[in-house]
This record gives sequence, C-alpha cells and structure tokens, in this order.
Amino acid sequence: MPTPYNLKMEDHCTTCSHRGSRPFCDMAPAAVEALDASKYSSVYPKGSLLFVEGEQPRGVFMLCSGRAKLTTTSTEGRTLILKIAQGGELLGASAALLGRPYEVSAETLEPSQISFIRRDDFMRLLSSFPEACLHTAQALSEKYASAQREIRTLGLAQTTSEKLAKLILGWVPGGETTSEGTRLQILLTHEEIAQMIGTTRETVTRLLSDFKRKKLISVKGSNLFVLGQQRMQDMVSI
Amino acid sequence: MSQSIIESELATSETPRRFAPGETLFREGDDANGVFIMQSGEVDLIFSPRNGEPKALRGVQPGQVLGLSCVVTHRPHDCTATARTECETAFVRRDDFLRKLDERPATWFSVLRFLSSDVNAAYDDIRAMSAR
Repeated sequence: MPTPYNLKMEDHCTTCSHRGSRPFCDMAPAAVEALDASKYSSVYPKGSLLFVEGEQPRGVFMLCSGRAKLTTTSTEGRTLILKIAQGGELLGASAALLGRPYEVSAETLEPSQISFIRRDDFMRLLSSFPEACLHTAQALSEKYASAQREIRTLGLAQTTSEKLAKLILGWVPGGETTSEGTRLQILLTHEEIAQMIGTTRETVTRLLSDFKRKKLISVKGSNLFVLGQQRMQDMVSI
Repeated sequence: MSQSIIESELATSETPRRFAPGETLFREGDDANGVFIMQSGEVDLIFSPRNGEPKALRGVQPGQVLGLSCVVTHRPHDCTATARTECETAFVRRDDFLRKLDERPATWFSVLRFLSSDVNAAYDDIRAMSAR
C-alpha cells in the first residue's frame, strides 16, 4: 500500500515492529495500550518544525522513525545543534514535565513518523504506569548525558579540527564497514556540521578538505568514508 | 515540586555527609552508588581529557541532586565532583533510592522534574560556553 515518502508506517504501538528495541515503548501491554490510545501519529516531511525554543509546551513527541535535529540559540544569537535525535527518542519531555517553555527547537532532518501525546495525556500515562516514569527518566538521563558530552567537547577540545574529528568518530559505530573504510551516510550540510561543533561553515569546508588531503576521509556524494580511524583517534584528546 | 518533597520522601534513607573545600564527592568513571542532595555550599564538576589538565566546567548549587541520571541509567559518573566550598549534602544509597521509588511511585514525579531541570541547566551551560 502506498505511504507518504514511502515510509513504513506503524499504525499501532501494540503491533509496532520497533517496540522491542525502543527503550521508551518497550513496556507492559497495558501501558503500551494506554500510550497507543493517547497518541496522534502523522508523517512529517523533511524540515518540519515540531516545536520551537520558547514555545509553551503542548505535549511530547515520540520520534517513531526518521531523525530530527535539536537546536538552541547561544547567548550571542548563534544556532547550535545539541543533538541529532534518532528513531525511538522522546522529545519535549522536560518542558512538558516542568510546564515551562521548550528549551530547544526540534526539526525533522528527513521524512519522519511522529507520535504526538498531549501534555495532560502524557502526565496521566505517567501517573498510571510507574514503568512509563522509569522509561521517561531514562530518556531524560540520556539527554543529560548527551549534553554533558557536548560540554566536555566545548570545554576541553583544543582545536576545531579535534572537535570535527571527534564528531566524525562518534558517527562510526552507526556506519557500514566496507573495503574502502567505514561508510557513513551524512545527511547534514556543512552549515549544520558547523552548528554541531560551534564553528562556521567555511571552517568546516576547509577542515574537511584538509582531512581529505591527509587521507583521513574520502567523500562520494552524501557518503563519507573514514579511512584513517586510528589517526583521527590520535587527534582527539578528550 | 521542590527539593523538600524529594527529601521528605527519602528522609528515612538519608545519611548527612559534609565535605571540606577540595574534597571529592565522586570521581569520573566511578560507579554511581547513590545520589547527593545538595543542602549548602557549592560543588565543581570537573572533566578530564585523555591528555592534559582536568577542567572545572560546571558548578552545582544547593537544591540540585548530584548523580541522579547515572543512578537511573546504571552508568558510571561522567565527571568528578569536588567541593568548591564547605558543603552539606544528604546522601541516599542507590539501592535505597530505587527501592523507595518502587514503594512510592509518586516520588517519580519529583525525580523526573529534577532530571528535567538538570537537562535544562546543562543546555544553559552549553549556550553560555559557546558564546565564549
């Protein structure tokens, strides 16, 4: 059956093929049924804004499939990408729990299936199922750990090339091993990579050329091959 | 939901712990064996590179709970916590903390709000650091 963007739609949490591998959704049947009954699921195209920094929280967003960038604005007005959220991540939970404006903005990077849960329904789910509280606590802890890693990079990295090498190495576990090296599909622009490491697009373009010249990486279309993983690791002191 | 609620829920499990300036509450890489509820004083969070000098990149104030995310996820500490000034804390062992959550599920709401505040505080620090 045709679906928007050819995405494989999961209509119900109870029958979702991803459930066992998604920490938040892997709950007892009664909790999953309650989650299923309270969600509104839709497909969003690339570039959809789910919520924006400063907006009053309407609810939480489960990224069922696809990817989204979480961004904030520095005190100087520069956009920073804090995290690339992957399928299975819960977005907007801290704002919903505190009843305070969203601290970040969330925008899809590719066509994505998103389930929205209204704030009242989310709070009711948590009140009824302690397991949902545990999974939400784990989701928040993961966000905190990710923010701490970002702080480590911002505070300890000596150079921008070290930050870029660390970023690329962080993608390697999700890559594919090939005879040419580890293949990574990069769907980010140079501008977005710059926003992830707190630099300019021009610097990212220059550093990627430098990495290519040193045969640390090669680039073919949207594929980036990591050729010198150990040499890149040696560049990173954090 | 305030610190007093999480403290009152956990009161029977708490052990007071005082730290002099420069004393360490926990070290990066240590197992998280409990949470510290900060009552007075200030704590530095120190991050160590593989090579080079450790740096204090964040601070913790009274009202915050240290070690919460590591206890919830069973992960080792991702930084070292050292008292900047004289500190008073209430320490709750991990097993007691998790047992209390099982016994009193309502306590979860305070834990979730503390974790949410921790995430927001970390984002504030990132915004400030990237402006430097």
